Amino acid sequence: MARRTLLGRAVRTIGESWLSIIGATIVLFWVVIALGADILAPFPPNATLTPLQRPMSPAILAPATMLGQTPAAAICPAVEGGLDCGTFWLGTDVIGRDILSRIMHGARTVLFYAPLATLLAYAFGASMGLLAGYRGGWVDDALSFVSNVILSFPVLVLYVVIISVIGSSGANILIAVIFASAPAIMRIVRGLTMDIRNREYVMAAETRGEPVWRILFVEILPNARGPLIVDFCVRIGYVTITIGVLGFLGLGLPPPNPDWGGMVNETRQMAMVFPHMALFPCLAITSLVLGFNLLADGLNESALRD
Amino acid sequence: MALLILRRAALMLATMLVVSALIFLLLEFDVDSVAVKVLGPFSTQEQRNIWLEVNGYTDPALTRYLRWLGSILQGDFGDSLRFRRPVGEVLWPRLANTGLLAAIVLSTMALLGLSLGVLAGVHEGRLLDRVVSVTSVVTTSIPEFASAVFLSAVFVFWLGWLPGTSGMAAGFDPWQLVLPVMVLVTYGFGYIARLTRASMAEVMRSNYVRTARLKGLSHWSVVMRHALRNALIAPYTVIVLQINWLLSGVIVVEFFFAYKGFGALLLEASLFQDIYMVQACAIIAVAVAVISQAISDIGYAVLNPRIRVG
Repeated sequence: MARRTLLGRAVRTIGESWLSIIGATIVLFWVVIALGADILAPFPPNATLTPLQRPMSPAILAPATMLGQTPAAAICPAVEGGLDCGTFWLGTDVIGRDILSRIMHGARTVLFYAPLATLLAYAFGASMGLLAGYRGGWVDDALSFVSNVILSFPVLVLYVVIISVIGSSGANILIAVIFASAPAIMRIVRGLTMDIRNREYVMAAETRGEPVWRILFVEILPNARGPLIVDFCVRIGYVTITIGVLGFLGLGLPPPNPDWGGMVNETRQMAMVFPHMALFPCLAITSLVLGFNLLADGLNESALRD
Repeated sequence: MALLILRRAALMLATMLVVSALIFLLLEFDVDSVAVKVLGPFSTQEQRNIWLEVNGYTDPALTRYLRWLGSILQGDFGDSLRFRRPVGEVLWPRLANTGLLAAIVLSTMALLGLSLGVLAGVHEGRLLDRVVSVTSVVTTSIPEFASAVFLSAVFVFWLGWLPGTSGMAAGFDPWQLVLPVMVLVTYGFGYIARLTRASMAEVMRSNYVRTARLKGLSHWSVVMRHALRNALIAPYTVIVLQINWLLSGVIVVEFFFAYKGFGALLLEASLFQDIYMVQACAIIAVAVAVISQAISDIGYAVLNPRIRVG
């Protein structure tokens, strides 16, 4: 018998489909990288080390180079021409920072902001959707109209306008993502709620005289979880793309801390000569989004089979 | 039918009215920030106050909004702070450029997405179906800026077949449109293909298609004359709705390839704090999106007799 814990059930559901196994593996890979970036990354992410290097080139550093707080001379053996500090596996960028280390630390940025933004958007969107779907009437009309107005904006236009007004920072990116995604989540939850609210267990709860919030969050929400989990995976992929795009457009997190979109933006002008600088961050973000999408696809397949 | 169009038009107007108020509030509610943007950060408070008074910014917000709405309806968006010319003069040519790009992208994307989706749906569960499904998951996972990097690494850096920027500095050059179109099509066609596939597969399992088969009609005559008509209703609405997504996509692609279009203009305007240009661009983007949503809804009703009743 499989253990009836939440984790056990999640692992079993993911194990039902090849797509979700591959997707979960990719996501897990990036989570491990993000958590262990301090140990795994060969160089500090913001340290300027050398002139621009191609991938796989040996990291021969000048004697005075600092690796973060420590002088390179304290760690690396001296060789002819400088200090031998290993290899720049993915090369260095325009101002000589190690791309591999920046990608690893960038994983931390994106895996912090994307799930957080999606969760917060869900908290807002799901509450509004539950309320609109359960109450109906003018509450539903009002909330639906507001969400339709926001959804009529092309997403990126909305982001650009919001960020141009409130400025670009981590918190403002969260606000923009919540504002733009909550209406779509509200629509989905509203539809599910309207379907569930006439079930017998909801009526039983109403007869018992339970408060509205309890009916919404204890009776209805857990029973709508199937489609919502799939949507959550797809949406977290979208949000990852959004954070990447904002970084790429120069509206993302302020430098110097690495984020994948920003890395592409910084090296765009040189991309025709040294494509590696833009190529690797793009591969990183593509693989992470693919991981989320495969996970969603696999979970969806398992759900349809049941 | 007339009622539906009328109701849709009313909803469209209401949405536009609220959106315009939203944009106005977002950008002009704080009058001091407007003065700073127009006069620059080094203006004195005195200069700002004079400017605000001369230009009617001391009136209440509602009055200003109505006046602003009135001038927009007459096509007057104010003067661009960056170009020092009326916003319209700069905006309309840019919008035409984007229109050209979008038209090519939409037709290519629809053709590719529909044909792949139909092929996959007809051969549900077979190898071709799996290949199309997996391909479309992968392509929709690549952000536009990443596929722009990948495609230009291959076609510009490695093979040297295509120009890497699309600024059209030396007059119109169709080759410079190839990469932007490829990037947008790559991201967008998968969604249409998946939807068409699902819709086609459902129709192929339906009773009337089985009847047509049993009558002894050839496979392709069943597909083309009986199944396709009904299977294309759902994808049609989605293709029209893609216009909304395309308005986001062009911002990234035009920025990457330096194409002189509407998306790049909006982005530059917001980076330069060119407030009247941002307003005009946002209003126009939403107008295009809202109109395409209405067209999609009405078209759906025309194509699908079942929802016309009631």
